[in-house]
Amino acid sequence: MKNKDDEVIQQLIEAQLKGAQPKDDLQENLEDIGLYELLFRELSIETDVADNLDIADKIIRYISRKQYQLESIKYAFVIFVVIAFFFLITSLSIMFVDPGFIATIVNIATIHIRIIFLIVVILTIIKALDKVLIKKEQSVSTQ
Amino acid sequence: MQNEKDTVERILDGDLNSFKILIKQHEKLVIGMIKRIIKDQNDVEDLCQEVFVKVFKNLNSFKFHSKLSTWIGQIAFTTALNHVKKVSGKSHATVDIEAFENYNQTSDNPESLLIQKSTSAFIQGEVSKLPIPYRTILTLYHLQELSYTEIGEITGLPDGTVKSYLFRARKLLKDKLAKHLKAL
Repeated sequence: MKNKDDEVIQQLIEAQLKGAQPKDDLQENLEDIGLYELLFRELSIETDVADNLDIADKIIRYISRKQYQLESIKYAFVIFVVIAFFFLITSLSIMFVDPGFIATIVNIATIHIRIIFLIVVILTIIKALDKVLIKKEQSVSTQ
Repeated sequence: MQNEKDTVERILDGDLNSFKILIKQHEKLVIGMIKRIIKDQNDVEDLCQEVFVKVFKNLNSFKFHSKLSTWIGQIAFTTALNHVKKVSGKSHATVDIEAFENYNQTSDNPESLLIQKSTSAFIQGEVSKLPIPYRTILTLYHLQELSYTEIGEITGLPDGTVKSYLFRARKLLKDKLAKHLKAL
């Protein structure tokens, strides 16, 4: 019976908090009603609010860092695949097509070393500008 | 719901600013839950970060079958429980049933009652001693003002169980409060 009364009181107070009219059904339980009203009030008060935890910026910085690391790995992987492919083709050519092919490649590299050097420098500059200008702009816009 | 869909789409397109707004909208829910569940308050910030990183990584799997806040609450609840399990070495259910049985029988000593003169401090202290499901449900119902259904989705409990736990927890607290006030 006591448990039933407690349940009824709690339901009444919940209903009152949602705007229902107070009822006078349980006049003999005034003490319990008072205790529950006090309890409901205290339970709905936030004690330590999350004022001091500024987690949003930390999380965004963490995610940005992880995304950048992933992109760097992908970029390095692409470079590796291109170089590996080049060496594979060269090796296959030497073995199955023309043993003198390597001499041809070395000649081309020697003749056009300046062009190859320029291409490498341009790619490095593009990468650096991407990091400095574009990614910096992205990190500023997220703040 | 449309607002949530737009936000999620922008985040999936790489808009970290939208994700920052999402964090701000839900950090109170996450922090409140985690603070209620774990004992060591030094771990709260790390766990909150872990929750939101999980949210970011799994956002493409969210299909809007529930509210976004409910889904985030589920992740927070599971993350906190896993942390408790890792720290205590036991499943929270086992720990909590034993604690609940002892909790009902243990009487406060007069010294601790005198020390906890403030009713607010007393109630908050008693809430922190409740089993995890009880104190989580109290927090979600009274502080976050979620419905029984939403609480059930977050905690994985049926609506009837949520309601039952809520009533039982409040009755326990009421009985403790009555003893506390009589002793003052």
